[in-house]
Amino acid sequence: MKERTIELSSELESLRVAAQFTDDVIREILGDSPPPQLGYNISLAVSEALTNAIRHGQTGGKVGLGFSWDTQMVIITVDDQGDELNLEDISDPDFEVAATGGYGIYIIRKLMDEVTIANFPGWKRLTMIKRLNEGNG
Amino acid sequence: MSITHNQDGVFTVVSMNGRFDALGSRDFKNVISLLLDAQKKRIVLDMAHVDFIDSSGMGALVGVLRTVVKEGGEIRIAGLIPEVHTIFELTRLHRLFDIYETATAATLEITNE
Repeated sequence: MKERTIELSSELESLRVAAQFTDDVIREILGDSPPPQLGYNISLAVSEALTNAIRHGQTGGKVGLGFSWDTQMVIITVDDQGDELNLEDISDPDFEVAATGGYGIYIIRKLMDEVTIANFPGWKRLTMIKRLNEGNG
Repeated sequence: MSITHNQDGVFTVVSMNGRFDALGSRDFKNVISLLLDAQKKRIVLDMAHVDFIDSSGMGALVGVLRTVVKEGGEIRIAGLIPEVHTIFELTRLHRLFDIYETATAATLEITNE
């Protein structure tokens, strides 16, 4: 598998750098003309995960973004130094309320094929897997 | 994200360009706040050049919609590219907004307040 990783300051300004890094990696994975929705969905899932990591992470800390891929799948990891989190504790948003937040994990779950969180002392890792088989948007 | 605005009849057309994420949301909310201060409450958001939006951007739109409506105004959204429209549907927030094909179409339909 090929791999690319980047470490960023845990601040919203890092989203700019992460977006450019992600776009470059997506081009490397999918070529210069990626299927629009597939490239967009990967970029969106990364943005949601990183925004959560920064907002709920440790102020002044670090966040990590990693991609590893082959022809079958791309595995994306987002590391932060925030508190422990368990996916089973996060329910879908209440769509009748039209909330202004709380959509991040819901969107990631919708767009990715597998999502897991592993908690370690002082940090955690969100792992997202997207399969690259034909027709998978 | 860069944001400019101009007046087209009764509507203020806010043209947005770039990435509408948590960073873009801060700029967006500031611009809308200034417009409301200037009593410009009928707003068309021309998003034809927004090539990316995430749930932070969507949240900012919902928040601004609530504020503007509370002040007796309205928000219309125009020019969504297909990828961006997808997240409106994914979050089911497309039901909240009046969405038009283009900013021109949005400004042509006048409703009496």
